[in-house]
Amino acid sequence: MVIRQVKLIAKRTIFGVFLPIAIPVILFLLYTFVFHTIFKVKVRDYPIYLFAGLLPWTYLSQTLSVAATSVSREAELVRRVRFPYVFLPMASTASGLVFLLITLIGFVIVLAATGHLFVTLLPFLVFPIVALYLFVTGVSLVLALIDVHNRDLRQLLGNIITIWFFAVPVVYSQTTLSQHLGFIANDDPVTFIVGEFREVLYWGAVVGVGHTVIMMSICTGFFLACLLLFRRAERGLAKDV
Amino acid sequence: MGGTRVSSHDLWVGYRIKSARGLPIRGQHSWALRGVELSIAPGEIVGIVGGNGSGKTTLLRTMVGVLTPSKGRLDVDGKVGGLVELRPDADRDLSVRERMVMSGVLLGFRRRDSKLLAALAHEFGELDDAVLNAPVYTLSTGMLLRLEMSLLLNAACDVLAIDELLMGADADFRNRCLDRIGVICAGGGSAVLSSHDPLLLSRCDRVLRLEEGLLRTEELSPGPGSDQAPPTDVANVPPETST
Repeated sequence: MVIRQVKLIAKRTIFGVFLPIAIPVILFLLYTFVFHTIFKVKVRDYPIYLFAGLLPWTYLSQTLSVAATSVSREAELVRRVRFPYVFLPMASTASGLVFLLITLIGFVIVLAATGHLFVTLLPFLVFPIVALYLFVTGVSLVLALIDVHNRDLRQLLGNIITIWFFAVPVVYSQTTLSQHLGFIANDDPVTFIVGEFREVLYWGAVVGVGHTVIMMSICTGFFLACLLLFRRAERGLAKDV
Repeated sequence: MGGTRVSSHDLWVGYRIKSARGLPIRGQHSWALRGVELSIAPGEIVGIVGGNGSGKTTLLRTMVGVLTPSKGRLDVDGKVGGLVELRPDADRDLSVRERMVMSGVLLGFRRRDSKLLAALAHEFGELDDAVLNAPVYTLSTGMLLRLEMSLLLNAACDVLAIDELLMGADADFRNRCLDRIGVICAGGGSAVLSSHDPLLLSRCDRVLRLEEGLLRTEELSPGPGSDQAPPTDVANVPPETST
């Protein structure tokens, strides 16, 4: 299903599978111009700081938009064959992960070329990547269930993601977030995950074990709770989809 | 299960009634199947007839496992394969070959069986390479049916559940499918075919009638004209009921 998902992205397009990879780059150029050139956000090496945060964020925003309708879109399949329907949203999040990894490789090459790469720290990216996948998959499972029963979500999701974007320190600094929205800085798993990406790719450091354990525990627990919810609800999906 | 391939006991399947806005109305259900008792032996081809909304598709979907009984039970002994929906709009941007692999995987084939699947589509469905390489959206419903039936009837299923779709096939292909179903059932498999087609019903060992979710106790004789008198009150089934 992941291969099918990737193939479907490439059909009847000019840019095909390159578009999901190009989107973070396009956003990067836009936000660099707006926040670095115009608003003069005071962060050293802002382009690197920005892209290290955009990587996990674009995965989240692009994947949620697709995964939210993954079950409703496949109504005919759900009504025809019995299989674990959890594969439908999970195929969307897994195919998005492929693009995230490709973009990450490109970013690492740029970091190496500009002398900003901390190569020995790269293996530590496994933790935020796994945490991000688990968290986004958990949210996707819930959104896909809601979309089967109520179509309001697909109208609102784009706006919710935009609001969420400004609540996560992607384009501004972590310190700014703590000053104005401290409760989000402490509670939003995405802020944790973006922070861990930046630690490795921007700061050249590794966060404490405690931070990683808390992040992994929250994301794993959240994913398992969403998976349980989906599994309980999927028995009735064919009647409602 | 002894000598039965499919058996149901007091099988009830209900749907929540929904408002025009598509939201469920609290506490209101419509019953697509009402206490169905069914027993199908190995080797049997059973036809199911009944008016629109009588519960035929719901029964087949429950056999396939897509729907779960609201009450009672339905047991199937062996691997069940079904064609209850043709999915003409699904995967329409993929090539026919890519969709074939997807459908094959869902029937228990492996991805690396793609050459075998293509051979089945060639030989049984008479679909050539030009068709297999074309996008799905360029195919007619009849061609899609050929593709899906070619895979289903060669997927080593013990129980086949096929909805009225075969009526969309031309006579030659329909006869080929019915011959193949006969071979599968002669080997110990069973088939349940929902249809209004006298020719198809004439190939069944027995024909059962569903009326408003109730399986009539008397069995109709297979043969032309067995589905000529649909029940007069099926219009009472709520329109929200998708059977």
